[in-house]
Amino acid sequence: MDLALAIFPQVLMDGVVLGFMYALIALGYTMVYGVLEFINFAHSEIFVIGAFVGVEVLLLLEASGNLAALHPAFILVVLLFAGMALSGLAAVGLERVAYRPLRGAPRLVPLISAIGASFFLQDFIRFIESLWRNTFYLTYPSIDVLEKTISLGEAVTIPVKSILVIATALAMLLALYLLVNRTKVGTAIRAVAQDPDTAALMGIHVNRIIALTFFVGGSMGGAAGVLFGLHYSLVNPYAGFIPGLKAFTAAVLGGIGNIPGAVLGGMVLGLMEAFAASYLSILTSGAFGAEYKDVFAFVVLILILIFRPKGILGEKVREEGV
Amino acid sequence: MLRVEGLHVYYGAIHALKGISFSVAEGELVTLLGANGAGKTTALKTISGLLRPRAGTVALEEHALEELGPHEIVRLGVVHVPEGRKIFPRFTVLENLKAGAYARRASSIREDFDFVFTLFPRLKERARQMGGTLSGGEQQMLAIGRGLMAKPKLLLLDEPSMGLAPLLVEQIFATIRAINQQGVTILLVEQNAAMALSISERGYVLETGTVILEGKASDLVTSDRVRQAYLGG
Repeated sequence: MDLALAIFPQVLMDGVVLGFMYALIALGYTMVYGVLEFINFAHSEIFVIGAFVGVEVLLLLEASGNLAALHPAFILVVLLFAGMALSGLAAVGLERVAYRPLRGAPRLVPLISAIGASFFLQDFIRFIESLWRNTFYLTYPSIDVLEKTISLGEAVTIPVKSILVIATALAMLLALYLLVNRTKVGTAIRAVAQDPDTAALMGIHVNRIIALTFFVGGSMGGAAGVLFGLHYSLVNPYAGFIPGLKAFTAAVLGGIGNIPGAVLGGMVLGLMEAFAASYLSILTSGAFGAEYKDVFAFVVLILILIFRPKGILGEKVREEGV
Repeated sequence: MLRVEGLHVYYGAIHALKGISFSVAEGELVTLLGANGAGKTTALKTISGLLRPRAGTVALEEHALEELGPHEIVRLGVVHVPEGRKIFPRFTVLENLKAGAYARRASSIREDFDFVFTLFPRLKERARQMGGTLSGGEQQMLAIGRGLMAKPKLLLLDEPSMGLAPLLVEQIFATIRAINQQGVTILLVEQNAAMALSISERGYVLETGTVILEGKASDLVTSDRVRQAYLGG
């Protein structure tokens, strides 16, 4: 039991980091579902685009000798903005090309288009990187300050990387909260999510708001991609699949279409995963190892959905009829 | 002010409007009457841009509305209060009213809040309540109030009396009359023909997508056809 106690702060930190990562990605699924009632299965590739933009910017800075010269905070800000902008634009382009033409079609059709877009984007990134760098497995160059740790007392040390993920994610969530709840476009997003036809009658340009929603959701995914790269270092074009699936799960867990739900779901899933990875083996005296963490996380998901099919904070997303 | 000519609208293969024409002059209150499925709601949705006509024109003064999207049509002062109220259930009463003024500058909407609250004091009491928790009558008041927040020149009202108790229906019709007297032109769609004709100047009767009768409200009330079909003999 001593070991269990000793690793607790570390596990908690890992879980929180993972949770914020899932939360940021989950926002993209849930916001798009909110306005279109459709799951954008290519969102995992939007996330990967962010991770690749991050690594490319860093590699270019390194090659030009600027990586060490520039202030790390400045580099991180540039990285995040570049990742967010390109992922956001990619999401907008995706909506325009792969989803909007299918707006009136049966529900299965855009879903298949999304899966196709997901495959296309994976191999497109692979193609570009193979041409450009001769490999599509890239490693983030290290930024010295991120490799440091801060100690709190004797037992607990916190990597600067983790603080970066948490602080950035909190800033993003706050910005998103203000955008959605305190601005006119935020009102428009919420109105379209409730009833697109009536929103149009209020003078809201529904297609523009849908594109904006893709941009905002996509840029949250892009930021998560950059943070993922900075934290775990390795990226490849297929790296989005598992985090994307988990974030989608988190969105469903919290109640799909519900923005606070996506954050809560991400956090619950991240913590469950981290605790399962570290404690399953201790609690079962080695019978189940860390490799069962996903099984455990998904069993909990299934249980929650059996008892609360709409998710933890779920409600009816769109009112039909009167 | 509004001139609809030779309008054909389809829902997929269904021919919902078969070349109807009608007009509304500035300051008028005009009613479209007809049974379920006659095409009344379709006509309003086509005017406000939610549906596109296959053929025909919708002219508001010099603007060709059939070429514009709903968000542009609102900005020309044509405001559609849809059937079934369609208020935003997860917005408060205040947020719903604010959404109505979406196309306008925030600085100029203050007095319109006051106007709506004088018209419907009930809404002021419920200002912070979620739209979805209001009663049917309150939702109808909110839907009309939200429409007024857009400062309409032409207000399209779809079945404002639907599902309301008789006393409330009278109150709503009195309010519609009052709004019209303030200078807002109104095109009203109703199943409650007697009530609608009593406050209207003119009316059109629709049957399966065509106008079968038109005239002054006072003439329509006494016409045999309208009496038999809509006024219970």
